[in-house]
Amino acid sequence: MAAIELNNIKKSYFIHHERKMIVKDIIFGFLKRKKVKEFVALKDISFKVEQGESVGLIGDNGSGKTTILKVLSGVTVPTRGSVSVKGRVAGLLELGAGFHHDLTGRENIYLNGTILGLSKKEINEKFDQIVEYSGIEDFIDMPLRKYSSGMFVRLGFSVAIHVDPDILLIDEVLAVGDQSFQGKCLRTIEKFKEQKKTLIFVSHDLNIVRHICDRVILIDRGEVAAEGNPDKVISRYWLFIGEKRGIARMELEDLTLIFNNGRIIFLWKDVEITKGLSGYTSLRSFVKWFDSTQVDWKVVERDEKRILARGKWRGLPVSQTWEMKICGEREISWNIEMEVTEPVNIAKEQANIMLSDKYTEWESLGEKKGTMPESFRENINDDWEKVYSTKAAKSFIKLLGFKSDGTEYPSVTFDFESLSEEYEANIINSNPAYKGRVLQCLKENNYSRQTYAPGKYNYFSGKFSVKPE
Amino acid sequence: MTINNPIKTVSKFHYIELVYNLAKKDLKVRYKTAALGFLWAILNPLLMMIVLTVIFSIFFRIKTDQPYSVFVLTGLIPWAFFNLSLSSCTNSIVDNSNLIKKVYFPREIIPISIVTANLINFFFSIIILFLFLLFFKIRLTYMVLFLPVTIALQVLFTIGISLLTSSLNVYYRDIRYIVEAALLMWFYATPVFYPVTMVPERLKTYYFLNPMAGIITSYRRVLLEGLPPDFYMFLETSFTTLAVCLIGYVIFKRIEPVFADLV
Repeated sequence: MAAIELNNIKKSYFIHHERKMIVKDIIFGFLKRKKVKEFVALKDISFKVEQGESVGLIGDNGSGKTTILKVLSGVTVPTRGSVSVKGRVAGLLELGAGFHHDLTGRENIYLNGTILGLSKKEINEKFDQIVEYSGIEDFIDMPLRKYSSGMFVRLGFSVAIHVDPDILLIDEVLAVGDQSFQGKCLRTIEKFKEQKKTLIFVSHDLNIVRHICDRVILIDRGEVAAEGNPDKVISRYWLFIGEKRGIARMELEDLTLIFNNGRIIFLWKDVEITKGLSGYTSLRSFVKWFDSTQVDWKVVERDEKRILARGKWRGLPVSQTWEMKICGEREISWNIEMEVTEPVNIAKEQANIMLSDKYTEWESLGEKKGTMPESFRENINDDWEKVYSTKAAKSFIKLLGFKSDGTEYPSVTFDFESLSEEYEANIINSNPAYKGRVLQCLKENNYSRQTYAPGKYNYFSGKFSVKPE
Repeated sequence: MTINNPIKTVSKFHYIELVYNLAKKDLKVRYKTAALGFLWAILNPLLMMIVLTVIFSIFFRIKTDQPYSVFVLTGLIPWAFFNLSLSSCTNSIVDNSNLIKKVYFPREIIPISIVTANLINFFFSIIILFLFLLFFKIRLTYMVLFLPVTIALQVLFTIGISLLTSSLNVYYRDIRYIVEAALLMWFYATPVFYPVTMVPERLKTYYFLNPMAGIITSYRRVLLEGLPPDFYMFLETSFTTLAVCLIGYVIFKRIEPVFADLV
C-alpha cells in the first residue's frame, strides 16, 4: 500500500512586486494593472512512496524539495494535481512551531505538542520522555528566552519526535545542534526506520542521505530528474549539477573527476567511489579544524586536462589554489599552494580523500598490506581510527579495487613522491557519521613552527591513480 | 484535475483543545509581560467610564434611567471585548506566519482562539460589572438568564467579522488600518455612551443593522432594566450576525489555501 502518492503536482506562486493595499487599488487600481509574476516551484511531480520506505529528496537550493514537503504536510495546497497521504504526518521541518519566548519550557511543550497534533493526555504520558530526550531538565521551568539556540532546537526536535507519526518528514534538521545531538537524531531516525515507518528525508548531506534512504529522488527545477538506488542517483547528481561557479569536471575514459567547491569527487563508470567529504584539505588553527568544503571556491582556469581553483577560507586569513591535472593514464596530480595574508597559527595540515566503505583491503610501500576493520566506532564523537601509518615521503597508500554485485570498484592510490620528511601518510576508518575509508596525508607543525607569516607556501603535492584491478 | 488533500490529524475534538491551548498561551503571555496582569484589561473600560461619566453627566446631560457610570460601563465592557478581539484578530494570520508556514491545522483556529482569550478576559470584567451593579443597588432579575444568549451572539458576530477581516488582511495588508479606523466610527454608531432611546424612531431599522447595537442594547435590558431582549431587535441582530458569519467563513475558506504562500 502506498503511504504517499503524488500525481502531477504543480505548484506556482504569484509574486506581487509590492504589498497590495486595498486603498491604493481602489484609487489607482483601475488605472494601471499590477505586475504579477508567476513563479513555478513545482512543474510536474509524481511519485509514490510505499509504507515503511525511506526516501531521500536531493537537489539544488530552490529545486522544490521543501515545497514538496510542504505539500505533503498540508501546509500549502498544490495548484494542480492530487496528493494522497495515508496516516499521521509529522514534520521535522517545524521545529519549535509556536514556541513562545515568554513561556517556560514546560508550557511550550504543551503548546507545541498540541499544535503538532498531540492530545493533552498523550503529552502528559510522554512529558518525561520529551524532557529527558531534550536533555534540558534543569531549565524546563525557565522561560524560553533564557535558552541557548541549541537548547531551543533540542526541545523542538524532542517534541516533534514524540508525536509518533506514521510518516515522518525531515528537512535539513540535522544541520542544527551539536555533534552529539546530531548523533542522537540519527539514531532516532534509524529507530523510526526499524519500526517500519515511512520517512521522507531532505538533506544536502548526501552522505546521510545515502546512509538512511532506501531510495533517492533527484529534483531539478520542479521536476523529478532521476529516481532509484541511492548510489546511482547521488552519482548522477554530481554529474548533473553542471558547471557553476565552484564546479568543474574532467573525464578520463571510465573515470570522471568532479571538483565541487573544495572537494574532489571520483566517479567510476558513473558510480561515485568517493564518499562524504571526498578529496579535501583541512587546517587546524588553534583548536578548530577548517575544511576546504566550507570555503568559497571559484574555478579560475579549466580545460580538458587541468582544473585550477581558488578558495578563500572564512575566518582564517588563508587561501588555497588547487591544481588538478591529468598527468598519465588515469593519473591525476593534486598540487596545492597556500597563501597566507596575515600571521596565522596552523597546527596541523591535511590532504585527505574519503572513499566508499565498500573498500576493505589496503596496501602500502614495501609489500605492507592489511584489511580495514569491519565495523566503525560506535560513538559519533570518537576520533577517527588509524589503521596504518607511515612516513609519506616517496611512499604511497592504496585501497584495493574489487568487483561486487555487478559493480566494479577501481584501486585508488594516493602517491607522495616529492614530499619532505615532515609528512605522514595514514590509512583511517572515519567516525560512524561518515563511514568512509580515508587516505590521509598529515603534517603536524611543532609549537615553534605553528605561526605562518604572510606569504606563499607549498601546502601539498601528491598524485592519485585510479585503476581497475 | 482533482485536489484532494485528506491530511488530518486526530479528531475534531483535538481542535477544541488546540483553541483552548492557544487562548491560554495568549493570556499567559499577556499577563506575564505586564505586571498588573488582568488589571490592564479592565483598566481601559474603567478609565473610559470615568471620562465619559464626567463628560456626559456633568457637561452634556444624557438622561439615563440608571446612574450614568454604571449605564456606560455596561456598554463599555462588551464593546472593549469586541474592539480588542477584532483589532487583534485582523492581523492574526499575518502575525502567526511562522505557524502557518510550518504546520497544518484549520486556520480559523487562530482567530477563534484569540476571541476565546478575550472572552475569558470578558468574563472577569463582567464580575467587576456585577460589583458595580451591587454598589448601585441595581437588582438582578431572572432575566439575567438571557445574558449567556447575548454573549453567545456577540461571540458569534465577533468571530464572523474576524474571519472576514483576518483573511482579507492577508491579501490587502492595509485592511487592519481600515479596521482600526472603522472601529473608531463604529463606536459612535453603537449605543455605548448614549441610550438607544435617543436614536430617532425612523432611523431605527437601519440603526439595528449594526449587530453591536442590538447586542449592547440587550446587555442593558437584561442587566439594568430586568427585561428580556426585545424580540424583533434580537431577531434582526441574529439574522445579520448569521449573515456576517456565513460570509466571513466562506471568504476565509476561499483564501485559506493560499495563506501559507502569502504571509
